[in-house]
Amino acid sequence: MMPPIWMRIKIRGEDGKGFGLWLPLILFWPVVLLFGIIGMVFLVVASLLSRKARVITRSIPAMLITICRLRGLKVDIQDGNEVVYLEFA
Amino acid sequence: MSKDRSQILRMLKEGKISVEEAEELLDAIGDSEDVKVEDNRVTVTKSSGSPKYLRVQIDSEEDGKPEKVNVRVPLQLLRAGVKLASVLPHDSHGKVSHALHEKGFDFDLSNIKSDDLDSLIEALTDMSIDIDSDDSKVKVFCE
Repeated sequence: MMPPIWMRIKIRGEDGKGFGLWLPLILFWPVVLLFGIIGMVFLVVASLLSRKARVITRSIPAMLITICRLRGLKVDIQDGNEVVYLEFA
Repeated sequence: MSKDRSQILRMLKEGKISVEEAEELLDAIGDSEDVKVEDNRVTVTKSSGSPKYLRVQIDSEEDGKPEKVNVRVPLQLLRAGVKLASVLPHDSHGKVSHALHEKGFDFDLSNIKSDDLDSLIEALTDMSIDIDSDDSKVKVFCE
């Protein structure tokens, strides 16, 4: 189970102006992992004290799985000149 | 020996197909591909197994403007979404259902179970919706 390697976003307005982004997510994952490990320490402590934090801690594995399953998602909507494009691969 | 297998061998014996063709067809049967032998015609349809994506394609035109929607959702993402929803606290289910109801979806989030979703995905394998009207085409299918 691998998280998405890259993400592509393209947004264009009615006037034809917009932007396109190609994000190599693979470069972000090590940073996210590092912050995630630090955050987990705080969450584990917080979950011992609060019920809400316990829910967040329990939902982390499900969130990670959901992120990994984003691979292959593609949304391409075109309305006249307006374009919204999102792809994870 | 299956009926199709013996028919392929018979066609080989009669010289209707070459050895290579017979080999390919027999391999196709082995790979659980759907092979239909009718007289001298052999049709091989690759059996795709369980579908991977839910596809929604809409092509329409409004006031001369083309409107296109092309969505590909990995079915695994649906499964993961259901699991994520099951972790949500029960009091938030009501809020989500209420918000969905306001948008016109009469839908209770707590009714979705992972097992139900598996049966739904299995049923989706053979499903294909094709709506073709004067100015729009809608296609929903799994691949």
